[in-house]
This record gives sequence, C-alpha cells and structure tokens, in this order.
Amino acid sequence: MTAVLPTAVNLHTSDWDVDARARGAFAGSGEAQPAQRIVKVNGNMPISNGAAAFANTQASSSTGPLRGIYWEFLASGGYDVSSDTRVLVTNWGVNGPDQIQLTTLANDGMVFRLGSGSGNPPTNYRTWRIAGNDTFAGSAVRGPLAIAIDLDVDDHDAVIGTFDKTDVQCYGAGQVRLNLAGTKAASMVFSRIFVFTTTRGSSDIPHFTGASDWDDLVDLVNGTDYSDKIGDDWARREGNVYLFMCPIQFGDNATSTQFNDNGAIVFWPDTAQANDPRIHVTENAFRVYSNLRDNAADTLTLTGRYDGGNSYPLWDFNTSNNSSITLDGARFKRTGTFLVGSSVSGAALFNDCGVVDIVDAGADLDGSTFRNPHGTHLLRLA
Amino acid sequence: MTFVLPAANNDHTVEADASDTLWVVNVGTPQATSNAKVAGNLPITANGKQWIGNTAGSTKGVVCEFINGQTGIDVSSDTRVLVWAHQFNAPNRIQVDTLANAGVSLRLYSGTGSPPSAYREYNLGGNDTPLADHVKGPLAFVVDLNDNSEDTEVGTYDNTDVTSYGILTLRANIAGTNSNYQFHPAMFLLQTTKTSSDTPTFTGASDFDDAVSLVQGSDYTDVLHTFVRQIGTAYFLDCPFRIGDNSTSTQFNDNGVTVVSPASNDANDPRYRLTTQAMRTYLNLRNNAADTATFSGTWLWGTRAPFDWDQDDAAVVTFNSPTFAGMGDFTVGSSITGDATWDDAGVVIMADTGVDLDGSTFKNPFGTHSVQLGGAMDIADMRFESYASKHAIEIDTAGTYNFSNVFFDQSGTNDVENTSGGAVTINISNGGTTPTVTNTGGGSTTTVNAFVTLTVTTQDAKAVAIPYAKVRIENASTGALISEGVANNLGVFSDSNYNYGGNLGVVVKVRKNSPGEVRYLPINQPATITATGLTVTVSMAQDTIAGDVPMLGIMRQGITSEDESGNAVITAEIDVPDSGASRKLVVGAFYWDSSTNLTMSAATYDGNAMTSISGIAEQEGAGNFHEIFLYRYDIPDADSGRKTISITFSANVAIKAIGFAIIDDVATGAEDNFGTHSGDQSATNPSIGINNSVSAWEVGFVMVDDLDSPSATDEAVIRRSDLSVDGLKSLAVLTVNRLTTGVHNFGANYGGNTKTWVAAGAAFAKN
Repeated sequence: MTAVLPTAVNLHTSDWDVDARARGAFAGSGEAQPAQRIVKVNGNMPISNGAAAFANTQASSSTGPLRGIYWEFLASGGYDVSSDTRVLVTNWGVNGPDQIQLTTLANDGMVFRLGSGSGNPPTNYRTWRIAGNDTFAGSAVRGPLAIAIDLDVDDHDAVIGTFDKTDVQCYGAGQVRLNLAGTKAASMVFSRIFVFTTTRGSSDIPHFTGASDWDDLVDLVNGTDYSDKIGDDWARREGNVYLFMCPIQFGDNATSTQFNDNGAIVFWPDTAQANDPRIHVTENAFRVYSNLRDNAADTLTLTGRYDGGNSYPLWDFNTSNNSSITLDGARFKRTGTFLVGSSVSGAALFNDCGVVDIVDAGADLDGSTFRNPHGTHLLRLA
Repeated sequence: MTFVLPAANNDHTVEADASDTLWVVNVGTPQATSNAKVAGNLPITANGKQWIGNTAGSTKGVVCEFINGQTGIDVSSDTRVLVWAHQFNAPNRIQVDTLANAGVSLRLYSGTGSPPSAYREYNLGGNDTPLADHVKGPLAFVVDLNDNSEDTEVGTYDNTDVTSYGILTLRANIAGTNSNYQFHPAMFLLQTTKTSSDTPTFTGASDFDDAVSLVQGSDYTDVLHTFVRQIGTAYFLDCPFRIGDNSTSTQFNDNGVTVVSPASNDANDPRYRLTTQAMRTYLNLRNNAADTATFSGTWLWGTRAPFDWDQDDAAVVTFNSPTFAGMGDFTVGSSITGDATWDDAGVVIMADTGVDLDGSTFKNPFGTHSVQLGGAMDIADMRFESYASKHAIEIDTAGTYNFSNVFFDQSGTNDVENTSGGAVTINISNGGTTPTVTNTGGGSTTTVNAFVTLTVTTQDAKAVAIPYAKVRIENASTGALISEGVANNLGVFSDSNYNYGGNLGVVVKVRKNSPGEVRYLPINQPATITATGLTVTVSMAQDTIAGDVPMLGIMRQGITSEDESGNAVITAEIDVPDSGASRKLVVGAFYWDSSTNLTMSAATYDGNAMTSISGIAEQEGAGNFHEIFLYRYDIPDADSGRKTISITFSANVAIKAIGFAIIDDVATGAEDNFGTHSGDQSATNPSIGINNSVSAWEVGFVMVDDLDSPSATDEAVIRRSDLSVDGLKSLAVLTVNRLTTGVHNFGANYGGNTKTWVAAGAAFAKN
C-alpha cells in the first residue's frame, strides 16, 4: 500500500542562477559555467514543472573544456559518510536528440562531481565520467536517465585536492560539447535529486509499510500519469521484472507492514559498467533490511528472484521477534552477507552470495540450497 | 557473435510526403510534414520523419504502405509483427490526450486507398501511460498484424491483404501551449516463422548481448532501435527469434540471464498488441554436433507463444536448469538433454522418445497437461506439481513406460491421461509416486506396476547377522502371503518384485528354530509397505528353552560361492556370535584343478593359523585334481563379530570354495583323536565310514564337480545312516550332524545321476 521516500534534496525546478543551493561553476583549468543556465519548460518530473537546465555553447571540440555547475546538498554543512554512506539518485536528460552533442566518455562527455568542504566552488572534489557519445546514456536520447552515486565510493576517475568524506557538501554536472548531428548547443536537463541513507531505521531510507509490494515503489516514482511522475529509470518495472537503484527497508518498526513480492524478479544495477558508468556504489549503497515490528501481524514474504548486482550489498534480515519473514522459494544472487534472525523461515536458494549468517538459532532455512559462495563460507550457523 | 535482423521496412529518415516512396497519405493535415527532424532517428546521425499535431483536440498522423503499390500481405496463417518506436521531440512537445482518448494510436489498414477504408486502430498510449507521460526518447511498440485486440475497427479488416499502417496523435495540451512534435526511427516488419530469414536469428558463438549490441549499438553512430534492451542481467526482446539458421555454425548460450518477452495489451502500457504467434522462438541448428545451444537462464514470456525447440539431430542442446514461464506449448526434440523447470507454461511436448528431460520440474501448467510424452519411453527424477483440474502427463501412444522416481503431488484430476486408444503399462520404480490414471477414448487401458523392494535383515541382540533365517511377509489384515524366502549368509532377505499398489500394513515373520543349530524365538513384527518399499531389521532373541537339548549347538554354518578367479587365495567372512564358550571352528577348503595336485600353504582365522586335519578325500589324475582340506580352530571366548577366513593354496587354482561351521561347547584337545576323519571319491556316491565311541559333532563336506553342465534332476544329498539332508547344487555342500556312538556311513548321493568327479570328507569335534 505504501512506499515511503524522503523529501528530495533539490527539486531542481529553478534556474541555477537563482537557486539558493547553487554552489559555483566548474573552475578547473579551462573550465567555466555553461553559457546559458535556464529553466526548461516541462522538463522536470512531473512535466508540469520546469527543470534546471543549461545549454553549453562552448565551441565543439572532442577534448574540451568542460562546462558545468555545482549545487550544495544542504543549506549549511555537509554529510559525514565516513561511517555509513548515503547514495545520491537523480535523473539527467537532454532536451532533444539534436542536443546530445557530447564527446566520448574518455574525454569527459558527461561528468558528475562530488565536492567536500566549504569552497564555492569546491576546491576538493572527485570526478566520475558517467556518459559519452560512446556509452548508452550519450549515444541517443533516452529520456531522463538515472544516476546513482555512493557518496563513499572511491572509484572516481579524477580527484582535485583532498576529498573529505566527513564533509561532503556539493555535487556538480558538466559536459564537453562535441557536435554529433546538427549544430545546436549541447543541453542538460536536471530533475529532482534524492540522497538516501542506507542504514536500518535511518530517516531517509526508502521503505515499505502497510500491505505493500514492489509496485508501490514503482508507482510512487513513476506516477499514474503525466501529473504525478517524480522520477524515472531508477525504480522500473517491465513485466514482472523490477530494477531499483536504492537501498530498501521493509517496515519502519512502527507501522503495521505486510510486504509480499508476489514472485517478482528484482535487480539492482552493476556498478561502474564500462559501457554505461552511471552507477558508482560501494557494497553499502543498496543494502536491504527488514525492520518489522515485534508483532505477529507484521509479515515479509519473498518468493521471487533477487540479484543484488556486482556491489554485493548486505541483506540484513536479522529480525528476531514475533514478526514473520518467509523466504519460501526465493532465489538470491549476488547479495553480500545475508543476516538471518529467528523471524526468518523458508527454503531459499542462495547463489553467489556472501555468507548466509544465521544470527539466531531460531531461524529456519531448512530445505535451502547454498552454492557458489561469494564469501568465505556458504553458511555460518548461530 | 551475431544477431541477424532483416532490413527495416522503412527507415523513416525522410519527410512524410512524396519524398518517401512508401508514404501514402496524411491524416488530419499535420503541420510541417515536409520536415525531417535533425538527429531524430536512430542513430542520431540520421534525420527522423517528423510531423506536428498543431491543432488542439484534433487527431493527426501519417500513413505509409508496407510494400509499394499497397501490395497486400497475407498473415492469416503466419503473422508478422510491426516493430517501431515513438518519440516526442522534447518534454514540452508531448501534448497528447489520454490512452482512452487515443492519445497515441496506430492503424493497420487492409486493401487499397489513400488511406484504405478498412482498418484496425490500436490505442498505444496517452498522457497517462509511459508512452506519453514524459519524454523518454524512442519508446518501442510492437503490433501484430493479426492481433484482434484493436480499440476500433472501421470497415472489415482483411488479414489476407494487409497493406498499410498509420501513426496518429490526438493533441491535448497538458503543459504549456506547444504543439506535439514527434518522430520515429526505422520500422521493422518481422516474420515469425522458423524458416523465414526475416525472423531475427542468432548464429555463431552468440548470446543475448549480441542482440543488445546490435540494437542498442556501441556509440551514437550505430544505435539501431530500442526494441531490445538490457537491465542488469535481464534482457528484454520485443521480437520473435530463432537460434540458428540451419546453415551457419551456431553455438548459443543464454549465460544464465533473464529473458523477458512482453505481455500483450497491458492496461497500463498497451504498446504491445500480440497474438500468440508473435513472440515465437525456435531452435534451428544444423544437423551437426558442432552446433550447440546451452540454457541456464530464466525465460519469462508475456504471451502464450509456442516454443518450437524440436531439434532432433546431431546438434547438442543442453538444459542446465533453466526456468521457462509464461509461454505456450513447448516442443522439445531429442537433441535436448538436461533438467529444466516449466512453471505456468503450455504443454511440454516431447517430440520423440529420445528426449531426455530427466530431473525436470513441471508446475502450474497452462495447457491441458504438463507434459505429453513422445511415445513409449523412460523418464526419471521428475516432479509434477500444482495441476488442479488437469493431468500431469498425457500418453498418446500405447506401450510400456518406465517412471523412475517420478513425483506427482496428485493435485490434478488424475496424474496420467492415456489417450492412446491402446494398452499402456507404466512401471514405477525408485520411490516414485504411483500415478492415478484417466483412460480417455475407446480402447485405452493402463496398467500401473509399482515394483518396490522388500528387505528384511535378521540379526541377534548384538546386531550380528543371523544367516539363513526363514522370512515370511503377510498382509496384516488378511494374512495373505506377500513374500517369503530365506535370508542369505549375511542375514538379508530381499524381494524386488513387489508391485506396490498403495501403502499396506504387513506382518514380517521370521523363524530360525530348527534342531541342530542355534535357535531363536519367532518374530512377528508389524510394518508398512510404502511407495519406497519395505526395509525392516528384526532383532531375534535366542530360544534358550528349545535350545536346551542334549546336543551341542551349531552356532554358525555357511559356505562360500564358487571362486573361479584363478588365483591362489580364497577368503570368506564369518560372523562369530557373541555367546558360547569353547567354540570350535571347522573349515573345509575345496579345489579342482586340471594340471596341479595342490597342497596348502596357509590357512588362517582372523590372521591366526588354523590347525590342519589330515587324511581327506582326493581324486587325482591327469587333468583332474580334487581335494578337500579340513582345518579347525579354537575360537577365543572373547571373539565376536565379523572375522575373515583365508585359505592359500600352494599355487594358483582353477576352482575353489570354503565351508565352515562353529560348534559351541566342545572339549579341546581330543577332537583329532576321535573316530575317523577321512575322505572318499566316487563317480556317483562317495562315502566314508565313521566309527566313534562317544557322542560327537561331525562336520561333513562334499565336493561336486559337475557345475559346468548341471542337469535339471541333479541333487546333492548328504546322507548319514538313514538321515538325509537336502543339499544344494553347489561346488561344496556342508552338513553338520550330531552323532551318537557307533558306526555311521557318511556320503553323498546325486539322485542317480553320475557325476564325473565327486568327493566327500568329514571332520569331527568331540564334546
């Protein structure tokens, strides 16, 4: 019935020039702000909202320079992700097919930056190349494509200064214009941005309550029509196959929850894919938790198939109370460590997963199959 | 390596006017039809056919023909699918009405005209569906030329003469006041049959990445379309396809990914309008062992498209536990081996008896049955689940079928339906479920034999085997005989021919209480024969009352089978009881050899040398040497359990055997001095005489050498005075008798049949 998302950090409905969260322009060697910062009419989600956008009129060149801008996450201060990370999820697009106009990935076709500290613009930042005309996101117009960046991930392509994980303050978007078809300027259109927490019980982790299923999150993000769509691509459904680019929590330890996956097939994306590097996460970004009340009315039923992606995120079902977590017939692949409390029962398949760690001897995984361990063992008994 | 697509029917790179030789007419006079959108095609280096819905509340669009001159396409037998995509220019250029109001629609026309008067119209999207709720780039849609889920039909659509198609929008301003702007990439008109080259095809060393790479391209210069997509390890193919083209070497592997084919006419996103022919798949490998296809993934089909994987030749197709769900009938050929799971699929049709899907699971069948067998064949280790109101298996050919460890959850009408019109025999084995059967049609009869094994193991209180006990298994209710026989020398009785017809309560009766041997109390033990048979161990207590006779007990006796291994050593394992005292082991060793008159080089009990007893029968002569050697051994009182007797002859020997007896409570030291122990040989009735002065145990052995040409009337009888004991047709026959004082003749009789060589010997143990 209910999927819950935190408030967006920035809806990006304003022109960057007037956005109170603007945090300066790209200022590295040869870098500058794009020539035109605008609001794209109908460019946001829902399309009844305008979207922050820019047009990069810098002369076409395969090698640069970059044009880009920063926004800060918070009105003051930054995030400390040194202990528990957060994951940023947003959608970037282009205005039309004749405004892609990007150079290749290797030449910084489209880049994402995270900055730390109080510099305006930041002087300590990391850069990830996320698209080019030779990757999925830059080879054709695809609509608003999702980007997911773990604020703690260390696989950046470049770093300037010393990035401080205890004070992550801003993010930026930039591109190198190369005319591919026609002569129009390159464009970028920005939609709302979420920064999710990734720990059990934290305030900003996406979670389910009530009599819920995966459709609830898909429908919340994608809406029912043009008037209530708030995101795209990072919470998707095709047939009975779902893709999510966020951590998940079942229950909030306060609200009655009965989640049932209805046999769905659920994926989380691979990180740092060479041909589509829009996702950069650690193993902590896409963690999955049970957080049911100590109440027999709270249930979590998984019978589908799950693939945690190549980041092997933790699945923490260490719930040992009167709630029921049933895994009958569920198949798990590429999860990290899988913690199991006594509320858990059922025969599941764990393939290429981390250690299935039975934390409480009351857990009952009888009939389960374990193979191809990603961890040091298939199973750890309580 | 290769995913092959036909050429696009229309690349839509030019304006919707006479510039396009396949353009027919516009609908509603859209604005700027003579305008190709720069970068509006795929790849973006090509222009897109752009048209503008510039009048609010008005439906406008363009119509093209498939073939010049509106030559008709007949899809009444095998359909074709129109694979295309729709793209709005920018987020403020969507401006279309809802799905219900035909915000975006496609028309299929039959016949000729500008446009033709007969058409079907399909509402594909609106501002309340993914096609038009936001800008998304080119979003694929697929319409089957034979689909009848149209939202509107004008005139009478003729599926034997499909000529044209049109794309239309109904403008409704939903944000701002701009017109709607749209354009389209190439349109493919795909065939859906196994033999058509216009059916997408995998060849070479290929996988689903090849389809993604071809369609999605590697950079902005070669993006072709969006009807093949990838999310993680899930692949979405909005098209039929073949694996192999029957002429190119092909090694396909699904690499364990998830493959998804779209559903038709989804209420929330009706971009796909498909008959069950649209998304068919085929195996079409060459008749060549170099052609392979390997499947371990998950195949999810949204339509009941049949899978024609009837590959019956040298090609090698391997199932490594793939899962198939959602499709229609699934025909499997004999090139396929391995296990798979079908869940909510049509009938899995085994095309012939060579199909090997052993280990597979079938559940929630969409068809009338889970499986149709390919003829009289064997299946094993299969599971059939959740087939309510249906049958798990259809047998349409008379004959004998062996089901080994096949499980039915018995949720259906019946488990098997025999539609053959003839006699079917089903043999159940290895613990499978005995199926219930429906015989359909005149002449169909079905016999189900569920042969299971009944095993009874006899042992004493110390879990030491009790050999040669008599076993009888009776129906617990009626007393009717189920099975009977004698346990072997290891105390095991086994009957593998019981025809299971349901669980049955039985009584296992075991007896061993004859004079002259260790006697046990009778056993009447209840048990149940189940689908897995019967396995019972009975523990017998010694009958100390019946055994309290003026005779010494024979605790164990036995004989080995013939040994023709040709080496010099023969061994036997014996079970020494954990009871008695002053026990005497007597061992007889026999041989026949054509060339050598042998002696003995060693005889041991549990590694300890036994004492030889001399003077035994021997028949010597060129080409025939027969001899019996006797040994005795005083078994230590503390010994029990399994021990090994080993006899080593002086050279390799052709045929040999061992017999033994253990006698309780025998005085030690005088046994060799008692009476006569001797041997004899005779062609018919070897005999020895015994003249003893005290009561004693006699252990006699007879050797029979006619085993290579036995006759039906042969028998070996050990005869002592007037006491006959039936023997066995065996190389060696053993008897143990209680002798009183006096003269006794001990010998063998062969039922009047002359034997070439026989011999007898006896040894005695004094009590």
